[in-house]
Amino acid sequence: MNATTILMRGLWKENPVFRLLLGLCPTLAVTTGVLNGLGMGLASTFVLICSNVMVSLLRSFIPKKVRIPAYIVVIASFVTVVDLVMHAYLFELHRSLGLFIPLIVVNCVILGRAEAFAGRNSAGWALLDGVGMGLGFTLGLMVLGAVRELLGSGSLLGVQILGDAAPRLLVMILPPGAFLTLGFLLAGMNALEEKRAIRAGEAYAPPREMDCGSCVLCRLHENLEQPD
Amino acid sequence: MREMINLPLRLALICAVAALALSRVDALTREPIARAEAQARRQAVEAVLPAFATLSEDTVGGADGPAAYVVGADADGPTGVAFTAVTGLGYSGEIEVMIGVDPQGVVRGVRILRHAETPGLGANYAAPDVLQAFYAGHGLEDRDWRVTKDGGQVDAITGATVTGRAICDALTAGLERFRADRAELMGAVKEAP
Repeated sequence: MNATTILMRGLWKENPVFRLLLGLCPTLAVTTGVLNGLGMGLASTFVLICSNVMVSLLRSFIPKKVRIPAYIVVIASFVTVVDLVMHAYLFELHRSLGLFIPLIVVNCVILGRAEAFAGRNSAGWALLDGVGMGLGFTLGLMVLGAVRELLGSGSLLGVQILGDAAPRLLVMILPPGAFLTLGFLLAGMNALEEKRAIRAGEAYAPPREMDCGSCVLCRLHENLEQPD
Repeated sequence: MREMINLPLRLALICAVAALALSRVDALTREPIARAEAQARRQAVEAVLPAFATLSEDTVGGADGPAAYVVGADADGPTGVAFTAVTGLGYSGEIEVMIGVDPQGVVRGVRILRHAETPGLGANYAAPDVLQAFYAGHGLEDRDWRVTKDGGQVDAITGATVTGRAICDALTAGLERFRADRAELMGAVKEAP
């Protein structure tokens, strides 16, 4: 393992939004604008880093059989802290994201990283993994938000970019726009990956992560049966 | 047997530590949160009222229970009144508005305090210049407070009529309550030194 790989893989190779397809609930719900995506991404990143480090430190204390409830308690606690602190000191942002903050608890990225990485590695690595995955998640949310804000309201970061003559696609800021944007972005990323693989002369296999059967959470049973 | 004690014990320990930490954070942030809420409310009051020198709060018992009003006044008497109104007709959930009127009941300013409307669509009503252009300058008597689509005289944002309708509903309810409470409220202010 080396630090750069762990840090960078969250940005593209194992990007939580575009490659692992984890945490889609907040991804689809809050990305009506770049700013919302940034706020949600940073809040999730904070929770992810804290929970990764905490889970990693507690990994010998938490019994394997009750690790999922233990992880959830850790994650929910940090989410509540974020919610309270944002409410107190970032009132405006909290007003636009308020509804979605509690949803971070059920964001699979965080539980997924706790289960797949933090619970098996030392705190330093877990911290790096949290930073990388968190930034990758934030990046994904911002890209989605940028596309939807530009096409739907003709602005970026709240600043009008397209003139009044350009059509506004209302559907892009509504929930279906989230699915459409994500679908096109995923198709684009797959096409790029395929091209790269062919140019490099590698055999191209479609991303296995997109098959739900390979999701960590669907294989809890297998993991339980692994010897300690 | 050992495991049966060990598992819940460790889980309980984790929960206890988490609960302790959370109660600390709650105690630390409770006051700043209340302060931020109060400040947002005060800013809305100041934004919707015509020029004033002093503010006083008053509660008047209307037909549907007491309602809270903030009265702005200068040396010559009351210049305006601010009050809140809530509607359940929003596109997603309740909308709470702060309404400012002059003593005659003409709307001078409106702010949205709380809403969960679609960002980029219904949420666009929350912009102060939109609220000013759509709702200020009229009272209950000189305008049909329904959106133009329903045969009224109030503009709505294209594609977000539901939210516009809901805001009209809140404004109408608030203005009617103010009309009912007006005599009592203004009387009380005049008696004050």
